[in-house]
Amino acid sequence: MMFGRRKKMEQAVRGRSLFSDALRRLRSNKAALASIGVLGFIVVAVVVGPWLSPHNYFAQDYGAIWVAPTSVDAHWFGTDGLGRDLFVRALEGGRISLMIGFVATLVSLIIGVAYGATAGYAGGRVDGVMMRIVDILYAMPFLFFVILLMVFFGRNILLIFVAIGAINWLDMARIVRGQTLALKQQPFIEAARMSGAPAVSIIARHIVPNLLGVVAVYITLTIPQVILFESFLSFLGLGVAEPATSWGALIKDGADEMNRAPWLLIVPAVFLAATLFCFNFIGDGLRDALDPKDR
Amino acid sequence: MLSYALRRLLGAIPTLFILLTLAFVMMRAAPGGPFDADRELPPQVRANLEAKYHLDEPLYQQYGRYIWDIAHFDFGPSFQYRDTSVNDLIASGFPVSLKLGAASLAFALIFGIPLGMLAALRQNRPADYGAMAIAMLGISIPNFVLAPLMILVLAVYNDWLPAGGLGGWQNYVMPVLALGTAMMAYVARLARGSTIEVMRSNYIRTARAKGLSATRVVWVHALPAALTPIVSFLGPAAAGIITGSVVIETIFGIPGLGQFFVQGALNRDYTLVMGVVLFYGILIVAFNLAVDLLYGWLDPRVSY
Repeated sequence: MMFGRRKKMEQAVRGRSLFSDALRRLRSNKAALASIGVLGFIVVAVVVGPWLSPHNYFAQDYGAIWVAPTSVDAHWFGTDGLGRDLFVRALEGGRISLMIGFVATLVSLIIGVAYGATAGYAGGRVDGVMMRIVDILYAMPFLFFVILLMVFFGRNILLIFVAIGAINWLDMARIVRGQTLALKQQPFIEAARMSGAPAVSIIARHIVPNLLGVVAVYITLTIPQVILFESFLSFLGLGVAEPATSWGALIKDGADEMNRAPWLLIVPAVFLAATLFCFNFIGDGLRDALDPKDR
Repeated sequence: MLSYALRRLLGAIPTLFILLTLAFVMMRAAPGGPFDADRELPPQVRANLEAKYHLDEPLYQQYGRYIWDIAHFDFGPSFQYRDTSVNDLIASGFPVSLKLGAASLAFALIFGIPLGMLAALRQNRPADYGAMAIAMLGISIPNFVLAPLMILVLAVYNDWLPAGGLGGWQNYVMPVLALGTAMMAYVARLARGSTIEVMRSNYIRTARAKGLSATRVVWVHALPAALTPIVSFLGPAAAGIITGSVVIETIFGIPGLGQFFVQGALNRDYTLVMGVVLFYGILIVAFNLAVDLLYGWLDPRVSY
């Protein structure tokens, strides 16, 4: 009798883990939900969209230059001075911008988590030295070095990934280290250590999975930063090389010709701003959901 | 306090040293030399030129000379602008950039702090959502998008403001807005978060319990504590303004340091570009140090 009641109580309490709680809070955040919807739409459009148009992103059509957005001949967003279709170019640029965002974030994520977790778990002098290195690197004007790299060694998309990833891991390393320091005091880590698990597997199996919440927030806030940075490089004429394009490169072309053809500026600008807006809102929503301190 | 400042100064030395070394390595690793001009120079001329710029010495000696020169604030001759030293170029460009950057920062603080505090005091009400939506827009629209759009609307469609160049104060309006808006948005978000936290603290409850007016509680008791995160944000903010100015100065045709950097990079004027990077690096390090000292002065809980 007693036993049965206790079981019932346990059931009533179940289902409110940290994760499901966070999910519930995220669901009630309309701005974040709408952002997920819009972002999903942009991602699908960018992946599928170019196939819907009869044009491709590099073909030049001198019979149709400076065409304003029109349904004639499927130039939905108009064309540029070389007669290239902006609809396809904007989506093609989005592919590159988003891809750079995801890949460079992944690079910084791997470096940052490995570095931060190691420093935090090792503690003591190792931690001190590793974090001092981060402090020093923090003060470097890396953006300028990346710009120089691009100038000196050519516009290479691989270089963009590595360069951006190599800059952005510093924040991640700091956050992860702080969390790890707190985590390693927990009894379950002690238990793992006592049962003889080596440090590497404690970090990989017990520490890193518990960092996922923080990492998720960080990812959604890093991707827009990276996209922004690539656009910044492209805007200076140092990003991806023609005929490939990105939102930043399109915005630069558009800004040069905005008197004559404002749509060339406005279309990629709206895509870029909408994407950054959505990522930022999702990141905010995730942070509030996982750490509802300010609610 | 003094010993902390000294320790921080000493701590800045390895940072600057790595900065210098990186700069030197990149200069040497960059493909092509300054004298690989359009036509091949006669060997004798080339040798003389290399001797003049000490390029014939062994690398370690060049490295030593480089460090020595920088330590004396001598950034060397510009390769592109003959007969002009990088120092001259920095001296002519920096005041312009400084004016632009300082005005943008002032704009960000003057509008961002009240906006954030307003949102915090009306938390989860329409004013809060409105203010935070503005802030989110400010963060999400990059300055290189905002700037051309502003030119399009304010200078091309309506002839209200000059589209570029440098003249009266009107020339500064759009660049300052373009450069300061994102910063303002960040400041507003920080101010909101910190004000919410401060308003919940015990000493604010005490102040209220004493029967102080709401205005006095907010402006005299809460404001200083709410400002501390913004002070620590000033370091990254300055770095952001410096990078942003590179693009903004190019768009608006402002003859500042940022434009020299872009032109120098595109023309492979290595000494100029490295000089600007180093100058910025030193500036950021110095600024961060100043901010940390200011932070300790503002918040007595921070001990050195």
